[in-house]
Amino acid sequence: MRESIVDKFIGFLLISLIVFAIFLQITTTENTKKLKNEEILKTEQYAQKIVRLIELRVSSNLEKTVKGNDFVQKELNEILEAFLTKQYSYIFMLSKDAKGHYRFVLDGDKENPEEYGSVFFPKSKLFDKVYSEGKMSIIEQHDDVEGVWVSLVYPYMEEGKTEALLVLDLSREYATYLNNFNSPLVTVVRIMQVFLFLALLFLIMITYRYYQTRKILTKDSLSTAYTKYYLADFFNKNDIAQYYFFLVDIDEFKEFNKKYGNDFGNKLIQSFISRFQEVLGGKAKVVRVGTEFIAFVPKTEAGIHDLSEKLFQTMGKKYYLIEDEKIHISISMSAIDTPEESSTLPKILRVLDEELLKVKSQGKNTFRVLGADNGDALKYNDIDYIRLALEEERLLCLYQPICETQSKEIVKYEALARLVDKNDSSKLISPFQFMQLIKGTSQYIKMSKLVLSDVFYTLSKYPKIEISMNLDLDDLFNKDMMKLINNYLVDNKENAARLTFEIIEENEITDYERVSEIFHSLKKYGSKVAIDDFGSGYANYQYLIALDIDILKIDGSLIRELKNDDKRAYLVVESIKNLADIFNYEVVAEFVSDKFIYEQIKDLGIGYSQGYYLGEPRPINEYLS
Amino acid sequence: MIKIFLIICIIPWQLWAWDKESTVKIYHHLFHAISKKEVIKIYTRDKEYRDAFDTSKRMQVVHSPDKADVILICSDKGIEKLMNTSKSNDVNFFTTSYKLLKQYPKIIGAFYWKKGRSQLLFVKGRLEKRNIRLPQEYQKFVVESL
Repeated sequence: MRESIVDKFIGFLLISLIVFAIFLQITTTENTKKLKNEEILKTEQYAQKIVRLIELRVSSNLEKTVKGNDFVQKELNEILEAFLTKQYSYIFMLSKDAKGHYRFVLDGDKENPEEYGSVFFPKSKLFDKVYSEGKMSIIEQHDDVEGVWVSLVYPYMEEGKTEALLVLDLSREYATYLNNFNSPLVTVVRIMQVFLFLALLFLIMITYRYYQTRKILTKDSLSTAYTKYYLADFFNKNDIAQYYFFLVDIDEFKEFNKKYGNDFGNKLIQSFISRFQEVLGGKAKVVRVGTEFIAFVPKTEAGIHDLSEKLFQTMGKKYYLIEDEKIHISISMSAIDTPEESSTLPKILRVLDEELLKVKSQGKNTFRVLGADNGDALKYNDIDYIRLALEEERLLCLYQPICETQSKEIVKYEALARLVDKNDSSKLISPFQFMQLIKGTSQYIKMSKLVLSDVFYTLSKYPKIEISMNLDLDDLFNKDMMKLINNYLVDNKENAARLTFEIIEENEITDYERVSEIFHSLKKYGSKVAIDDFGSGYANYQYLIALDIDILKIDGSLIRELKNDDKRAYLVVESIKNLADIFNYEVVAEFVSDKFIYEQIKDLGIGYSQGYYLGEPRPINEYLS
Repeated sequence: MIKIFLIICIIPWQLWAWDKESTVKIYHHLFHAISKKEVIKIYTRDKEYRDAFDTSKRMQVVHSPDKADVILICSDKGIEKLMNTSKSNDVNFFTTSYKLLKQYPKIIGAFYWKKGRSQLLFVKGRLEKRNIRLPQEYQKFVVESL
């Protein structure tokens, strides 16, 4: 699950738990409040009834009627007493004397009634307020008033003036009774709140652990650098197209560790990372993957080239002072100015990796930069893009003529596969841009099938031409690939003799016997085998001894040297030509790009030539129409 | 577990202690307002009050009404005798009952409970007779008649 989703989910859970707990609290509080309000409303109705009953019996002034008249007083007390049910602690009436002191007028307490006129301090200023305003009031009582929960103070009015206050004290016992009435719900809510609280604690603990673990996973234990997890997390939240990327490798770092020890190596790494920050600034992030470092920084006006140069010079050319030792290191680096389109982290990292590999293969201690204009490198370095292109059969074979050198007469064509850009059909994509990506996958087989199909179709359509097509040495060991080729050869026996397989290799042949057998099967129906790029890489003289081949194609890099009028290159090419003559092989010179080279090839007596000077790769009909 | 048990045992005792302490404080405040003395000698026949006042450094429980600054009367049992035997003019009678306050003119004030509310009451004429001037904060509890 993506970290941002986890963050949101945890946040959602925390908020949900808190909201649910608050909701439960509010529900129970509201329920209790509702019961209380109902009780107060009932008490108010009682107060109104009591006042009406008193008014019925008192014709003039209440106090004057009651004072000294024990019979009336008793009768009125009995009215109050009638309402003194278990929910009330006290019901009584007070009046104010001339000095402003409250004194009892009536008391509903049957057993121990207060004497008329005895002083009473109500301990609340609200009594005075009710007296002066003539409006009922509710008083919440606390611990200082024993056994009373709420007091309702109701004004007894005579001719628009408050003459007395009727007080109904709701008992605390009754409040407890009401609460008990509500208690099953409260108990359930309390249990749920306890559960929610525990769940919240648990969630907080889990969250804390989650972030701790994430911190451990995202932070390199050795240095201040981050890990690859952080990199993925960072670009889940940030736009990758706004950053420059650098992939840096300390050359021969293992040697430092061997020579000075691991602790020393660790310190060197720490200094190295600090220097990254110094060069790239505070906004730069450095990710350590072993001895490789991925740094990314928001794009600046300085540009990727200047920044790369500065980084390379500072990181790799200035010494490091570790334990009083001046350490000089060299670095290999690749950098990319992320294009606006088609940029994903895996693609960027793959391209950086490939570029770094190129740097290393060129002898390390240098750097390569892909500017923003190298968008194609990213765009086509995408397996999904290639898969779609092959599914839609957006593959085109161009044919480059191979000529008889002396006469420039076309004797053969080399089939060169190109993919067609999805959005721009005039834009052709060379296999160099994606071949490494698809090699060994089903897409590679699929592409080979399309090429073979095109080649055999062309052979059958144009019965007088010969075609050569490239075949990787590794493909010879791939059963699926060989099965595919054999099927085509069997199905097109009549055209097979006009086909040449140009064997290119990236790995050295170790099993010549096996390769020899495969060559034999390729030649079974008359096809020829050519060794491509002879004179470079692994294409060496052992081939001539161990394999049954028909044609040698001299490596283009040797031919290119002829342009500089390089005598030694000339001699090497000549020696290959002579050797081929001895073995009776046909010889083809590639990369014949201009007249000067062509003249030398002609002068050397090389039988066949191929290159832009003699013909560009084009659709076959353009040559044959 | 032992700690929890101890806490459970201590809490009620502590609450009781706080209650007792606040009672003593209230009475000291009251009696100081009446007698103007810092350490007040009190005579009372009520054991509970005696025990409570004993805990205070500023209240001294005496065993003879003659030696008291304030006599606190909690019931009418033997009250006549107590009032008559007390010869000192400096002694002030205080009660915890409105009924006794009303009944015995020698008593200057009372602190009692009525309808769940604590009540403090002083009778103006009785205070004046004994030349007692209460602080301003007590004036609202002074009534002219009962």
